[in-house]
Amino acid sequence: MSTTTSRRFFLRKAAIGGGLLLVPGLAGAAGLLNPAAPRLTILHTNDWHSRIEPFPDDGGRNANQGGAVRRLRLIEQIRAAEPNVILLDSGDIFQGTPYFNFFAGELEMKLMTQMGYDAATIGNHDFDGGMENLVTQLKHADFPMLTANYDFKGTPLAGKTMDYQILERGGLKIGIFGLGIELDGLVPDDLFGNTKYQDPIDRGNTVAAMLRREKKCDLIICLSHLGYKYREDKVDDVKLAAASKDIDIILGGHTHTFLNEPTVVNNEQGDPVIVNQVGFGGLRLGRMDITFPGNSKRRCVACNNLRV
Amino acid sequence: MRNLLYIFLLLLGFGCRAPLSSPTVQPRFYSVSDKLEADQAGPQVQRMVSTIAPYKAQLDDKMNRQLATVKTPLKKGQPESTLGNWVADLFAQAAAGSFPDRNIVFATLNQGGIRVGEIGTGPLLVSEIYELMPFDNELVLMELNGKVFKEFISHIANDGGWPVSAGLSVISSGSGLDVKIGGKAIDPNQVYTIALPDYVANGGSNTSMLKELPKIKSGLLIRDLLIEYAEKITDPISIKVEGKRMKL
Repeated sequence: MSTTTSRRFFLRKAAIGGGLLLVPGLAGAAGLLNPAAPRLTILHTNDWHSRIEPFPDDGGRNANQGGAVRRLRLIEQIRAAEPNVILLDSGDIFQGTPYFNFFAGELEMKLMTQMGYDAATIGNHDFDGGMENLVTQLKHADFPMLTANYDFKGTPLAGKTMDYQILERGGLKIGIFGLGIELDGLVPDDLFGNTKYQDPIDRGNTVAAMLRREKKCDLIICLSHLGYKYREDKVDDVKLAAASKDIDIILGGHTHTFLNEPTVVNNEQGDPVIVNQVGFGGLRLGRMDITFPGNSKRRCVACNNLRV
Repeated sequence: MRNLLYIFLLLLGFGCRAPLSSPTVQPRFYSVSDKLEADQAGPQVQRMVSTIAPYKAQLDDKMNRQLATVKTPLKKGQPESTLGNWVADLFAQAAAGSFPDRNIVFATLNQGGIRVGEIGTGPLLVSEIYELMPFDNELVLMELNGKVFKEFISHIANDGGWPVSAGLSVISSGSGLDVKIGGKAIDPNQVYTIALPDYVANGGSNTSMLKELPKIKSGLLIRDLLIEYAEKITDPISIKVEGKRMKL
């Protein structure tokens, strides 16, 4: 990305409608107008909390909603209709149903692997079985856990996670990294041991700048488990977005926030950052269709990677 | 749809606020519901169902046991709620039963430790207690002097109110918090024994005032206690909140 041109991501109004509506409205239209325009479909979840089966049929608000098998059906249908799909999770995969109490997260990891997740970040509850347990369960996962601000040196998780991951889809380079919440006062000390929490804004800006400049990524996504928004000083996705420079999209978690459409926050340079979160319990699957302009005056230094 | 397309063409044509070089992001979300089961399942779906099956079979045996009957829905809320009061009272009962020689003045759980928004009417199953309290938190007692006791209660109040058992009364007024236990004001020189999860006792939910103080361990998981004591309930569960515990 050259420094002179803007990397604004222009957010359209959320598509609405009850049905599946697999063909995205406007992004699809842009693709039709310019077949060379690269398009990417991001699917995302957060805080699904071991909700393998739908919520119990108890007359409650979420009764019979959610469920991993249904999520897979949805993902399969979208994959059948779209060429470039990535699937991401923003943490708190574990804890919430007896599946975690009895099987320690093994089934959650197996199912996410079957759904084809590309990456996830670590939520505070993913420590609930201890760090050794997370290492054990990661053997059932064929996707990486990304976290750029937990330093696991001297813990069982050392070398088992990555700061970031770069995916290439349809000629686009997508840089994805993870940020985790402060563990002190939230997770029992013995569960996170010597894990060092580092400032998410510092680390986020450092990693995003590296992904943008050295790795020449076209799109930079932060998987965050910081939480959407707090009244107090505690860092959250909105504060992170405002203090960021190179992050395009923040897919959040932790606060179980149901956003009906993403929030746009201007970053340090006045460029919009898109912040989203889709509740909890696997009740929703979020989707963003991103269409890059296909005209020859591309603004990115990674252009030679593109089929133009 | 057609209108939106038209607007988009306009944007393309005149490039109003959307320069052509900007990637466009079209967001949406799907509700994961039973409507998704209308179509025939492919091999991937069948594979997932058979992956889950053996795990599910093991759980169903343990989880589908009925403990009691819920007559009116138990709902989570702050500062007081039907679910919070019910759980805190059941926890207090279990703590008293586990430590019969101690005079426990009240029991509490952190608000975030209650992991369901609601328990609906009908049979109360073991699985619902697991979802209510999934954590392997242990019942512990702490002996607090009046000063730390008040500090802890202020923290609970500042956090919007946690589930607390009957007997504690916290009323917020212009002059601060009026805290009473069994109708009596807090005596700074008295020692109060309280029941709580080890998570909170060890500094969780930002309870730094408790972290370094001694704990009396029970070796008992709160979830198992709640299951044990819920099973002793004979009448259908119907809780009314009177607002006597937390007025914030």
